[in-house]
Amino acid sequence: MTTGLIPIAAGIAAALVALGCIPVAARLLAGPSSADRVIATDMLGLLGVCIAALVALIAWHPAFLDIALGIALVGFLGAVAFARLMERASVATAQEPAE
Amino acid sequence: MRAAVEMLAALLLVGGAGIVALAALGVARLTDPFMRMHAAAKAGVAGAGLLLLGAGLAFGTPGALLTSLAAVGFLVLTAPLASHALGRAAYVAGAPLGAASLADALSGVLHRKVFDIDPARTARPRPAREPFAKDNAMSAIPEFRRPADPAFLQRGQQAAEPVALRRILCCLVGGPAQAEATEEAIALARDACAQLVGLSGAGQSSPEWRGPYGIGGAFWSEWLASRSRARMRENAAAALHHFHEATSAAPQIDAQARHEEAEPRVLARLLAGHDLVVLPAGAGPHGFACDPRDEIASGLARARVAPVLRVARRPRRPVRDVVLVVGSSEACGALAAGLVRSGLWPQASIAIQPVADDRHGVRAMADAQAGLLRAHGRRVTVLPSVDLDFEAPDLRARLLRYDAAVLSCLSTRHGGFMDSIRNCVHEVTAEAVPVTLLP
Repeated sequence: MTTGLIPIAAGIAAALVALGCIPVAARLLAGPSSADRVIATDMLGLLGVCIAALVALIAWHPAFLDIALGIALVGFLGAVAFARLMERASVATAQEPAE
Repeated sequence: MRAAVEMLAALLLVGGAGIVALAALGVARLTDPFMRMHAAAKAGVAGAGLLLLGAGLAFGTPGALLTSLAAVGFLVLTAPLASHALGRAAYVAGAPLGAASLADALSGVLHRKVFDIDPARTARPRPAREPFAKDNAMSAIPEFRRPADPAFLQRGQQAAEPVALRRILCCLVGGPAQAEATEEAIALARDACAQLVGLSGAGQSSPEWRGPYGIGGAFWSEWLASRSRARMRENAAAALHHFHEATSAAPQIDAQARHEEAEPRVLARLLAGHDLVVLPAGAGPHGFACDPRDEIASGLARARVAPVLRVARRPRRPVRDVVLVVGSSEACGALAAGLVRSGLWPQASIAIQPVADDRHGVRAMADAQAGLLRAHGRRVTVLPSVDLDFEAPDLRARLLRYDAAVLSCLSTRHGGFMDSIRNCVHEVTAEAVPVTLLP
C-alpha cells in the first residue's frame, strides 16, 4: 500500500532544512544591524515550523503538526514585538532634544 | 490513489525544503536588511507552506490535513504583516540601504534615525578629552577652589612688555564664524605687517576602544568616524578656499596655508611660536558647533601656548572699549599683563569687571591690574562687582557696548554631575562681546 517514499523524502527535506539553519544562524550572529538579527530570528522561526512538521513525519505522530502551528503563531508575535521595540527605541532617541 | 498522494507529498516535502534552504541562503547572502527580509518573508513562507502541505498529505488523516492547512493559512496571513512591521522598523531604525537600491522612496515620509551621528546631534555630547588640567578656581564647590596666588600677580607684572605681532595663526576649522575670523586675522596681519599662517584641519582623535558597543556597534562606529572625518575635511576645504580668496585679495600680506591632521595635543604643539592664534567662535574639536567649554579656543587657552583671539563677529575698528573679567581664578590675575603683552588695541579704554569681589583675592587682583594698565598709559575704570547670582540678560545688556573682552577661560562650568552653576559670567561675556582674547 505505502510506497515507502515518505520517510526518504522526509529525511532529505530534514537534511535540507538543517543545512538551511547554518547560514541563518551565521546571519544571526554576524548582524551587522539589529534589523538583520531580527530577520534572522524570524527565519529561524520558519525553519522551526518546517522542522516540527518533518519531526511529525519522521516520528509519525500528528501531534507535532500542532507544534508547527504553535511555533508559527509565536513567531509572528515575536517578529511584531521586535519590530515595535526597534521602532520605539529609535524614535525615542531621535526625538530627544539635542543639547 | 494512495501511492499518487504519497508521491505528491514527497515531492512537496523535498520541494518545500529546497525552497526553505534557498530562503535561508538568501537571508545570509543578500546585501541589505530589506532584501534579506524579502527572502525570509516570501521564499521562506512559500517553502514552509509547501512543506506543511506535504506533511498533511503524507499523514492523509483529515485532522492532520486540517492542522497543516490551518498552519499554512496562518503563515500566509501573518507573514506579510510581520515582514511589513519589520521592514518599517528597520527603515526607521536606520538600517542601511544596499547599493542596489536606486532611490529612497520613503525619505521624508517616515522619520528615519540617522546613524551618522555627527557630534553636534547626539543627545549627550561626549566631552572632548582634555589634554590639559582644569582650572578649578571658580568652582561652586568650596573644597575645589584654590585661592588666588599673590606670587602670580608679581610674575605677571614682570613679564608685561608688549610684543610685536610677527606671526599670526588663523585656525581654519569651519563653522558659522569662520569667515569673520579669517577676515579679522587678515585685518590684524595687515595692521601689524605680520606673517599669517592658515592652519586647517582640526584635531583627530586617535582610534581607540571607546567602550562596549551595541549590536553591530563596531561597524557603525567605524562608519561614523569616517563620516565625521569627511565632514571635517569638507569644512576645512571650504575654510581654506575662503582663506585663499581673502588673502589673494590682499597681496601685501605674507600668508601661507597648511592642512594638518593629527591628535589635538600634536596640533597644540604646532601653535607654539605664534604670537596670536585667531579662532572662530563656537568651533569644537572636530570643527562642529559645541559648548563653550569644549571649544578649541578653550583648550588652547588652558594650554597657554599662545594668546588666543576668539572671533564671533568682526568688531568695529579701531576697538575702543575692552572689558576685563576678573574672577577668583589665578589666571584672572594675569589678564592685564597678557593684554599688554599681546600688544592688541593700544588705544582702547579698558573696564575691569570684578566678579564676586567678596571672594579672596578678587579685589586685590582687580586693583593690581588697574595699576598695571595705568602704568602702561591706558585709560582704566573699575566697574562695580557682579554678584555670582546675576541675571544673564542684564549682564549681556551691560556688556553689549564693549568691542572686546579679555577672559581667562571661556567657561567655568564643570559639566556633568557636579555642574551647579546657573549662569557663567565667562560664557555670557564670550557670547555678548564680538571678540574675546584669552591671553
